[in-house]
Amino acid sequence: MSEPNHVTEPYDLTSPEQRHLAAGEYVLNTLSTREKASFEALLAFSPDLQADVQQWREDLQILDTSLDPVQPPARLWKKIEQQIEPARSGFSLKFWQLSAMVSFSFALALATVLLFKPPMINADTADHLYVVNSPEKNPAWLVNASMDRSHLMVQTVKPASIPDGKVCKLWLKVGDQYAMVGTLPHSGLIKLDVPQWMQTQLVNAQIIVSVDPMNSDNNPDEMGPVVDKGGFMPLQGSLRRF
Amino acid sequence: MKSETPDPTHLQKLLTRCQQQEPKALKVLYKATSSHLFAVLLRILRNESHAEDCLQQVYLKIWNSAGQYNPEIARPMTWMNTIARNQALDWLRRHKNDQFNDSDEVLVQQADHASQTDHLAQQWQDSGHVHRCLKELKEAQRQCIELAYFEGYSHQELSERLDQPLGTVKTWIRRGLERLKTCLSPIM
Repeated sequence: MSEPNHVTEPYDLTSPEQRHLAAGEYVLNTLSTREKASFEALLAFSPDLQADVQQWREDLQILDTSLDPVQPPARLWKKIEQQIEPARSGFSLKFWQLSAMVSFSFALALATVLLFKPPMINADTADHLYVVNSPEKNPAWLVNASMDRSHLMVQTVKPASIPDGKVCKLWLKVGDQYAMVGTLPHSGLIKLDVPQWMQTQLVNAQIIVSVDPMNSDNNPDEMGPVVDKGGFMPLQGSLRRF
Repeated sequence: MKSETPDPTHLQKLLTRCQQQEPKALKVLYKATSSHLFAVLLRILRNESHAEDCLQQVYLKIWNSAGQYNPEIARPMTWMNTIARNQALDWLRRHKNDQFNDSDEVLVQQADHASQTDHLAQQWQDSGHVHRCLKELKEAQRQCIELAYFEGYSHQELSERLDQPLGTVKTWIRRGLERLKTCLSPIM
């Protein structure tokens, strides 16, 4: 294994041949501290040597490319993503909040229009609103509580697509008590009656939207998948004054 | 066995978009290159968990330094491989003391080394022209270059590791580089 003429001297950087080999060892990072300092001093002023170093990097990269690729675990990208986009780490929550704000703003704007156009929803007859969102988080229906709490006015905005033979049921829940007040329309505005026993608690009721088979029983124990739920939001008095 | 290198032009465009802080560009870049860089990091660090940590740092560095990439100086994969290798070697240097304090781990690593070297040699031998170039190298030359490149060994460390005089190790590396360069030049 031994070779003749063992190297004992540092590189002579005045020799083109030795400079070239030193560039290779610079990339390998095997130069001694002193050799490296001398080499880097020359490197800073020599475009040829810089090119030489780069060529060695390209040449020695063959060691890297000879390795079989290994797929890193999927979780790693998520960590990187969170670090480059810290604002997006709370993406879901923020998106939801933004969606809710947009929905509410849209609802307010639409409600304003509706309130100005009786008899669809009269300014004097509706003061609480709930926005039913589609799975894509777009406003699908507006549910307005009448001021006398006797009924709900449901305005279609952009209804969510529902599988054939299914309907979206609108439930109200107060305490442990449920009431299925009707199905959400495909289009237009409908009026749904609120059971008398619930009217005094209507604005505090939880609104639940489920997807159920058409003509299914209105038994809350057999309620289908819940696609949206929440509570009424009060409309501002200033809106109602006009 | 030799892996396909991602298209340099495509990678260059992605790096430009990373410079403009487009997260989607980094995601595409990651998909195209992470398996290659991860292989390099695994080879250097020989520990999956450490390689994962390191890979994370590598892509953050790529993201933050994309503006410094100059296509006239280096191909994209060379630039990224250099970042990965430097990051891993820095990591090795920082954790060297910890490693040597963990005697069991060192023993396992030393025992594994011979087989891993054989594995790497096998990979080389399975790839066309690289095989031809490697045949030009003597075993000791190849081993020294590999240990220096992938594990950051200095001349002195190689001398101690291989139990050879310092001058001998230096000679092996110089002769190995000369032969490798001569062989690779016509095909690079």
